[in-house]
Amino acid sequence: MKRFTKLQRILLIGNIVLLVFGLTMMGLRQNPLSNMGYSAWTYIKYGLIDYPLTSIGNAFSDLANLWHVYEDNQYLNEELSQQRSYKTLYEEERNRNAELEELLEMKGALKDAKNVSATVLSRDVSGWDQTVTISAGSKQEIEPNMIVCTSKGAVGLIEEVQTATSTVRLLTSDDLINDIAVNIALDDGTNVEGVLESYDTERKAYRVSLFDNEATVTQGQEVSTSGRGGNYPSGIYLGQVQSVETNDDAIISTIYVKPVSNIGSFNYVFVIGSGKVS
Amino acid sequence: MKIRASVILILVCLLVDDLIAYGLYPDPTFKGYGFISHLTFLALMFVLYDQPWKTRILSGLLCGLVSDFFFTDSFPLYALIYPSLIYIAGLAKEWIKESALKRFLWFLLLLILLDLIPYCTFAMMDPYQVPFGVWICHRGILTWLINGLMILLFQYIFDVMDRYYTIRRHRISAQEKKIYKRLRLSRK
Repeated sequence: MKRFTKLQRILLIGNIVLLVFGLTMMGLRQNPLSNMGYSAWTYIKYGLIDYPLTSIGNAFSDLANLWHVYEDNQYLNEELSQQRSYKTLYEEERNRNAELEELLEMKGALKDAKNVSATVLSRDVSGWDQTVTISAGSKQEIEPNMIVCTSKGAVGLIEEVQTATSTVRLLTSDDLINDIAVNIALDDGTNVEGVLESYDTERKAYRVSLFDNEATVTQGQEVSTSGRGGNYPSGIYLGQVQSVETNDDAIISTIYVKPVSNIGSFNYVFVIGSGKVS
Repeated sequence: MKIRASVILILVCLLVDDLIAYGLYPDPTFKGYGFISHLTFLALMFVLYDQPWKTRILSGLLCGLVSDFFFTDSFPLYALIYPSLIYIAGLAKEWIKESALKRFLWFLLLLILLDLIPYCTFAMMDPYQVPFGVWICHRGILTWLINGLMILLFQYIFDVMDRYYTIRRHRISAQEKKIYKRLRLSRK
């Protein structure tokens, strides 16, 4: 009777070989046998099972991730649109800051005059170049006929005063309440005076009548308030001479003055008064 | 079952065990629940329980060595456990052949021992081993439940395979009888 069958002999030899090989490798403390086995086994397993399964899994995962990508895209789009808003807000704030800085400089220059700072509360769209409402009223000692200036120069006169707000009649308005006495400093050191009568919408300039038709007023000269009449001091900048019109028959020479550059859009103003009762 | 089919089955089970261990890696901190797949051991029991004791021990030893050297790096733990349990599995072969329930219960008992023996061994060697209650709740019960279901699946597969091989054997023998009969008639 055989001690071992053929199968048992094969198994026995396999066991001995594996045991000797494994123990030798363990004894030599070389590269762990498990790693070698893993390498070969993992290679087969990866090719036959892991890779196909991983590929299928990835396909499903990608499909599922599409929704997340869509959500991410929506979120990023919102962020981007907000970013644009931030940019415009930043630019607006920067402009306001510059405007305030210029106003501060102007305030420094008007030491003796009474001045009140205010913000523009509303500006009617239909009458954009007619009136604005500002955040200063009788509480702030605002009085009618005081001049209203932006950082660039005069833009209007106080028309009505309420407790906390005032209505400003812009110099570009068709119904300017009072003429404004103006003064032009000439190159020869003399001054020529006149009156700002109205605003010419075609020329987009103030119509100023001068009292002296012999004065040599040229384009580009600066026009400011003379302080005669009205409840505001002299020297408030009104604009630059745009063109000159001389009438031989009359003693008054008419000039056209270009308003300050930001009369179309401003947020902060100074209300300036001379301190005298109007 | 033929030897070639048995070897292929054990290799496939080894592959699936490794894949499950790779894909569903049980939480080593025992905070979550997990299980260990013992398909290879189950396949070994089903293939070998009615084999001679030498075959059982040698086959179990081979699988234990492969597992120790190539997968778990735990020599000689499984090289001792596998042949021992496979040997024990065959001791009750007459009893478990009586009914499927007995076979199920016997294999389940051995399966539990397969988990308990390494746990107890490591518990003796390592004082910081996770408490038995925690191990049972977070690993043991799920492992035995899933592998118990696998025993039922294997029972079904092996029963079907046994029937298939029996029918095939009968057909072959019937064909051989016909051929002998023809040969006898042709001689006459």
